[in-house]
Amino acid sequence: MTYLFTKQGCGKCDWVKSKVNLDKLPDVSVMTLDEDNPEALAMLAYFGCVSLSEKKLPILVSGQGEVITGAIPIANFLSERCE
Amino acid sequence: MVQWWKRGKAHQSSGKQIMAKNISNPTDYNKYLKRGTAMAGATVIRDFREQQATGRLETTDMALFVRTSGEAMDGWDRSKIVDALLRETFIDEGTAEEISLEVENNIRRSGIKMITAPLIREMVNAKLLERGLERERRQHTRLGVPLFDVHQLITQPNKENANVPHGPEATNLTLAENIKKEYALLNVFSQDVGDAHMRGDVHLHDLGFIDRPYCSGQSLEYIKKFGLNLPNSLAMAKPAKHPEVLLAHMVKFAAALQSHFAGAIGWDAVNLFFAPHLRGLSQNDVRQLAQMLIFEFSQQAVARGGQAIFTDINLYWEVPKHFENVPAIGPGGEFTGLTYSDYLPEAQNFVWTLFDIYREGDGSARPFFFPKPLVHITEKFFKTPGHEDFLRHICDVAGEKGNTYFVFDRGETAKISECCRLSFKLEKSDLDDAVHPWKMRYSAMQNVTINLPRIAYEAKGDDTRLFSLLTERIALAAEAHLQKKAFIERLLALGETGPLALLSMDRDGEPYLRMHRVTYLIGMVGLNEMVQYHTGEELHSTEEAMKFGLKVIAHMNLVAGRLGRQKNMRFVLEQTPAESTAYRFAKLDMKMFPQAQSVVKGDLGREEIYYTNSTLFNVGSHVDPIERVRREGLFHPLIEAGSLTHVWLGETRPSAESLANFVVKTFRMTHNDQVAFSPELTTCISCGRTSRGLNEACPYCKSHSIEQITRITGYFTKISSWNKGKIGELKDRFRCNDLCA
Ligand SMILES: [Zn+2]
Repeated sequence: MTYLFTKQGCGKCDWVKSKVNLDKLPDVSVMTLDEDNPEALAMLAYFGCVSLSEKKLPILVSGQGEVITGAIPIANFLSERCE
Repeated sequence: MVQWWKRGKAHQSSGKQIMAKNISNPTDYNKYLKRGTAMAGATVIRDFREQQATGRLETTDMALFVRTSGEAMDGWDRSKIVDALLRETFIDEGTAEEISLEVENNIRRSGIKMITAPLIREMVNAKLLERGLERERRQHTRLGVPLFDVHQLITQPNKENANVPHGPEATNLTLAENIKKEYALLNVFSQDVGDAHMRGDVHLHDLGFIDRPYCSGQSLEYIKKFGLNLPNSLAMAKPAKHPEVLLAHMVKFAAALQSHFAGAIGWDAVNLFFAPHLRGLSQNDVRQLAQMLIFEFSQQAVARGGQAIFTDINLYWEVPKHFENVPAIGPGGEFTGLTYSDYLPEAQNFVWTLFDIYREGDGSARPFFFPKPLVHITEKFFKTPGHEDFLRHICDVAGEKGNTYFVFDRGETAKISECCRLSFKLEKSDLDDAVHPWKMRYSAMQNVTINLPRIAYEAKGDDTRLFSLLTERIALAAEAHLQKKAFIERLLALGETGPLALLSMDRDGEPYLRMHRVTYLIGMVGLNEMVQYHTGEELHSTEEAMKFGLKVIAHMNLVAGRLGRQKNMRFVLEQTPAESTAYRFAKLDMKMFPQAQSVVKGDLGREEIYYTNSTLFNVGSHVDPIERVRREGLFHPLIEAGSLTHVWLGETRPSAESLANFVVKTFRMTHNDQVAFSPELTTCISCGRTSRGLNEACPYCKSHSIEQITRITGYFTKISSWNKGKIGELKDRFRCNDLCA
């Protein structure tokens, strides 16, 4: 499973979501970080990305555990998967 | 000395009962009265049974003398019951009169020969209860300690806190704590909060220190700038000109702080802030000062209860970024014209020398229990020349004596650490304050710990129920914090003439205790057992269990944050050291939830039971140390006020190089906040030598008169002082023989 961590009101997160048709990627789980979502925060911690998320969002963690930041690299990674 | 007094056995300071034979001789008693000897308790001096026969007496006719709590002998006066009821409760005058008459009649009819004011009070309380006046009964209650308990306390060591020695001062401390604890539960906290504590849903820490905040972190700059100028002090000292005077001020101020805070006293960047006073000193003098600093804090202070002051000293090899351009304060409280960057050589030499002293240990080569040295490992540390040698030096001490705590400040993070693992993460405004480092004072008000396994028993496998119960308990903890905050604020409002004068003192435009920067800690015990009961797997054993554990802590983090925003208070999670709480919760749950048996740790037969501390893995699980540090470290970013992973070394003595490798790996490859390596040692009382491992006899002289020593939670102590739960844990601890497997 690949995880995409995003947040409400994050422009870069919205940009990635607009660029990639996530419906075509059933093995990508989009996790929205907000105060009612401990699941998302727990997974973020599980991948060791809590501090990173304070500076950079979105964050993508691939099924192989690779951590990717930056809207463009994430969009590229996901687009390749769509093809 | 009053001789008759000595004959009686059943007397006590709180004066609940005194036997007739104590004053069998009226002449002795008269002497006693004339001397006005102060003794607590109350006594009847005349038998009034003969008067009973004559029927009901008027109050003034009762020849009953009462020894009051004011250490005086008063004649019987029924109106005092009425006065007390009207003064202390909301009762109406008619009922008060009625109760006083009933009590008077009971006393007369009983034919008792002596009575104490506390006993009269209890009789009045019984009347209040008979009338269903529970609130009034609570308001009118008396706090105290049973005779039996006082005797136990005076004669038996206290195992609640391994840092409290056994002695008259400690007994005084414990007695006072017991009364303040009752006071807190009756008068500071609401009944639902108090009941939740009594049941063991949560644990309110340091109830016996209800009139103080929990702990304090500060720098030397305050006393360097303002001298030792404390409210209520007999003499004011100007800022220190000499390093040894600065040390004396530091020790005295620490003692003053210890009497105003329940827990640890932490000092920021000690080696750096000492540095301006060290310029030009010979190496011999520096060594002498380092030795004095460690011995002053490690030897049993004469402060509170004979306890050594729980002291943490934060140390840096580099000049922390936020202090680089800060003007340095030197002798006499004057700015030296240089910045702290200019004092790097002195600061480095001092911290190196401190570790030379730690390496040697005390007079018996034992590790120093206090002050605890916390070395900050930062990005800048690795860019500062000499860091390899210094790391090797402090790792050598860690392997030999275990003292060193490695605190990891990654990225731009900066913090002050203290207590067993508590840290204050410095925020933007704090870093701005760094220009005036004397302003950098941080305090936690209180710690409330949640019993996690109990929630799992109550949830009966239902996820939704588990998280909703957890939310309720966090809200309860927040409520407890609000109540303590309100109480402390009332005391602070009394200003420099109040009991917290020291915390109200205003030397720099704001009170010493900066309430706006206070944190309120929410701790946890037994995440491992909660997860084990709820999912069937322990934290370390499957990825799913680990993810569920993280979800629990993430939930706590989010709820605490939300409540904090609502109440405008900083509720932050802390890994509770739980020296006695892990034992207390396990004991209570074994009584109330038989299912606890399936997850509780320790030796059930010997009642050496415990829950695993905070978010730690089962202490006995055979997890590779670096893997333990990595995986336990995944919880740490969710626990803002501090976390720690223990590496139990047992009798193994890893090389400084392998420890240094381990530390670098921990910094670079994990998210772990803090690591400590704990060797086990045995000190021989006969020959005064210290050997490796927990030995039954001294390997040098074969003596059985020994003290076994290791880390209990966040500090070293003698194992003989540990509670049963911790003894159980010690037996289970997995000692790693190979650090970098
Ligand atoms: Zn010996």
